[in-house]
Amino acid sequence: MIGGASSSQESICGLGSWDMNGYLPATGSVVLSPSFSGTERVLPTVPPSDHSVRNSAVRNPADDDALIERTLAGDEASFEELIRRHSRRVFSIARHFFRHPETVEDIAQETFAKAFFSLASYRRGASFEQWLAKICVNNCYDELRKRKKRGESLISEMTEDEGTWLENKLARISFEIQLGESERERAAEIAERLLTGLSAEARLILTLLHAEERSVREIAELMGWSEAKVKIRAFRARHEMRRALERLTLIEQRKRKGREVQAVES
Amino acid sequence: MNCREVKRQTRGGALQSALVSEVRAHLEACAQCRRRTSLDRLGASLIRAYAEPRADEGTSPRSYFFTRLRARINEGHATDASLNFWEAAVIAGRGWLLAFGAVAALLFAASLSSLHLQASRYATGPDLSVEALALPSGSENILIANGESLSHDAVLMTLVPEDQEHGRK
Repeated sequence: MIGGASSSQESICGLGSWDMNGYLPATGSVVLSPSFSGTERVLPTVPPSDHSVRNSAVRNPADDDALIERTLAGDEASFEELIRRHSRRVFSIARHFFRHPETVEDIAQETFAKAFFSLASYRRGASFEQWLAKICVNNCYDELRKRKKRGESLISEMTEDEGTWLENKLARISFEIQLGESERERAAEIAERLLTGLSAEARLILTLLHAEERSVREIAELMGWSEAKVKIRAFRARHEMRRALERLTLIEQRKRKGREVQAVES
Repeated sequence: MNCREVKRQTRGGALQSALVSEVRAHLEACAQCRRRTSLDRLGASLIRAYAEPRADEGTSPRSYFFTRLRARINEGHATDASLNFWEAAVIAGRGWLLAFGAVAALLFAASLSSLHLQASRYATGPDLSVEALALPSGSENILIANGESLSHDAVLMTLVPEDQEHGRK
């Protein structure tokens, strides 16, 4: 049991026992151990940059299955262990889609809450992490669509520096554009403007392709789409991204011309 | 290597090393492909930069992560428990209700069109095959297709819709 369950275990919302109300068999009360509620737990929210999280997290599915069985039987510490095992990956996915820590945590929480309520429907023997990843990606997609629907926009005008940087990058004939450490923050801010201008679907596909570095087949499995559908959507998403980038550079060019005209006139 | 081939080779992101020099040569000569490839590469780099963790980002969830998760799970619980039987049934059967509604609408439309068809047929008169309507009006009896013999007036009466007949009366 993680952190060691003690007799002073606190129950969820102080109800004393956790009636699963149909989700779990009523074989016992489920209480949270102190480690679950503790503030000292250290779980990495940030993925390593080389995406080793996805590859290193290959575990024996039987271990996860045993924990799931125990959770379904009412052992809350087992669910806690499942979270501990897989939170790194879940946070990593959410972080690829969103930059703000609050949003990332919200997505992670939603993912674990949904997983908890759907645990009985999880097919034993399959990869639990993959199952969680599906839930998490779908949560991210829902959030992107919600934001688009609300018309939420974070687009602000690019600074002169950012515009020049973007144009310089585009002017280079380089197959691989390498970004230095000092450039990353600026690039991320421009990326935020770029991504906000894209449709939710394009953003989903491009993030899975470039940030998550998933193959077409992996995306197809993750989203439950056919590979052909993924390819078509990726093609459209790239087209959308190119247009959005063109718009950003055009705006910058116009601004620059305007400044030049003003300078000449004055 | 032509534009189409370059497009095809660079689409997936990864390029075979043997083709790099050929693609590069084409890109140097073709401004359109160069622009397109640059935009693709730049876009991908920007997205990667966006996903990269910042230096000041912590490596642990906030202290209230588990408290909030617990509350959220409990909230989901409470919401579910507060549903009465009919609410739960409506949620569970929402799909079935939609399907049932669609079928009912189709049946209603079908019955309406059937009624309309019958009415239009009725408006053109009863479906009698009268062979001898062309006989002069002075004739005593008219022979109907089924061998029945009716007077001229009786035949005319059968050709007038019932409601018009009542109206006339």
